[in-house]
Amino acid sequence: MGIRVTQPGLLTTVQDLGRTKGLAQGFSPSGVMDQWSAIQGNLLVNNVENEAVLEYSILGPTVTFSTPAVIAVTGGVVNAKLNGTQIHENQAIEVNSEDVLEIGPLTQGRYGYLAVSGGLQVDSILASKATSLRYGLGGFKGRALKTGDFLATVEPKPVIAEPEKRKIAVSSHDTDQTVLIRVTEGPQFAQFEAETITAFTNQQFKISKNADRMGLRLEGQPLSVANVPEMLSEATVAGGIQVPKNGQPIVLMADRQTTGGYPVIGVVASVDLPTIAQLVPGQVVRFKMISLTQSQQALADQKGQLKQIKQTFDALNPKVSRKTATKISRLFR
Amino acid sequence: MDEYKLYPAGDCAINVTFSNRVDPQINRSIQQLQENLRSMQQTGITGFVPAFRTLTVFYDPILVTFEQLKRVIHQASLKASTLQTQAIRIVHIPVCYGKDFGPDLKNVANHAKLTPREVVKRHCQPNYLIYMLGFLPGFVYLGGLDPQLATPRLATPRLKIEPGAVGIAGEQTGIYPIESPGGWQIIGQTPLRLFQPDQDEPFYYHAGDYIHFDPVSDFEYQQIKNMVDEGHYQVYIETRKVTEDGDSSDTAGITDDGSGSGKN
Repeated sequence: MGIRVTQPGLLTTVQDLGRTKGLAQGFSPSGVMDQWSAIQGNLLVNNVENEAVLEYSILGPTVTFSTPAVIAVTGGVVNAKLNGTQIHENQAIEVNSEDVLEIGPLTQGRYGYLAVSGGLQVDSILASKATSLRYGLGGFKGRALKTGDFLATVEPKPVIAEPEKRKIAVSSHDTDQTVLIRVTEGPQFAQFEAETITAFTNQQFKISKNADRMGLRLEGQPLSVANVPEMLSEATVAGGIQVPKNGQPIVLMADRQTTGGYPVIGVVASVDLPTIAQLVPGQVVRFKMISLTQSQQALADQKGQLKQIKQTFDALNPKVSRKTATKISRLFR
Repeated sequence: MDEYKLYPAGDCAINVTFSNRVDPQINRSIQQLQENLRSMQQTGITGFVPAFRTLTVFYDPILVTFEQLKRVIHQASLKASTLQTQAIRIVHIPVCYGKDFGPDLKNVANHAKLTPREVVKRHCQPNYLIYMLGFLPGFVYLGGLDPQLATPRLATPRLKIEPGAVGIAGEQTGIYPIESPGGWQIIGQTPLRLFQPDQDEPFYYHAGDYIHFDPVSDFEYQQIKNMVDEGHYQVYIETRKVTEDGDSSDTAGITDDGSGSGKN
């Protein structure tokens, strides 16, 4: 059982929430660019949050299913068609054997996701199915999908009851020219001059054409690093905003190297990482400094939302654990 | 333990930052702190990345707060050293130098004004401390290169460097664990397969371990390579006791107790 690729789309890869166990050994975390959308996809099809999904960029793939399954299309906006009929995004959809799903081009956002009930069957390396394209490792043969590839899927357990009721209301993508991105202080924040910090939060930065899974290069008035001391390389974090010598910041994303030697002025709040990941070149960001407490509270709120979605879906698909079953049976003894 | 400062690195990581220098003593503090934190099994800590002067502690802020974490790190820094009584590991990497294995050995020799033979001798002398891994999976940042061997990178980087290539770039020496483009002066090649993706421990070494290069002939290279391919080559991993007052100029206070051990 599985899915066959008829048209690969652009940069379609197998990704999960990243190879976080390998950071200390130099493995880029990789994983999905927009965790929020990928997790939603998995919840819609009753998978665990970290299950592997297909991520595509700009142009989605066309795939044929070899067996019945429940799927969900999330993330960047597309006009996906199942056997030629348009389907809803952010909703569980039943597919049958030989059904053809054509995802097509993204009309909003930069990355989209296809989640399949049961998940994708590829080998794990360091407990992750994520593809690291830079060194051809993980996912499906360490590369982006090609026409003719067959991806095995895992048989879902249990069968999803009432898939039509599994949907998530998603707020629209930021198509505005200027998008506000919250940041906390980076580890080298205090080494930048006050004027540079002001320039960092007061001006707008354009997402340049050099924006990929590794990082987003921004364009704006250069930030001065003249008086920031040279530093020894240290660990990088998702959303870290490095300022290299030319003063044009780079936001580090999923395929980042694990260590870096440029000073980090700020770090994108975890809740806003999906937002910045979905911006397309030419869109403009403005950074707003918030406190660590605010950032962590916003993250807790987001996790709370996911928990609620999960509870709603679990209620549709009642699962009785063995422990509970034993307790219930004892009551009748 | 050396003094440190704490800096948040985003909302899910904290940098424990020691003095701004490359120093085996600082590396030992970082390893010790990491070991102590591991043994405390604090809920919410999701991983560690040691580097030259930092230990980055990744955490889930839903499970542990920044303030709690600060206290835990403080406690860990106070705990008596557990590492000083432990053995350190020296991973022996067989290397065939020169010829096709090390096309840039002559460059390095010319730059150092030494014979190729002398370059090899000096390169095989130290136990190199692994300060950190980064850049590529399993790529080691080593301390201890003989300053005379320091050679600038190639003017034009190679598009493809074979896995196992041993090179020099500036004051650094290291090994390419996987294929990559790069500008390092390649002086030799190891027959070992350094990256074993199907293992729980995909590399033979971690930050805080040492690497020693053992020169081998073309013939030995082929013999080892055959054994590696057949899956029965034992990588020689030497263990030595660490002392506080050892000779820290060389290998951060290692004394030989002769308890070397092989490992697959």
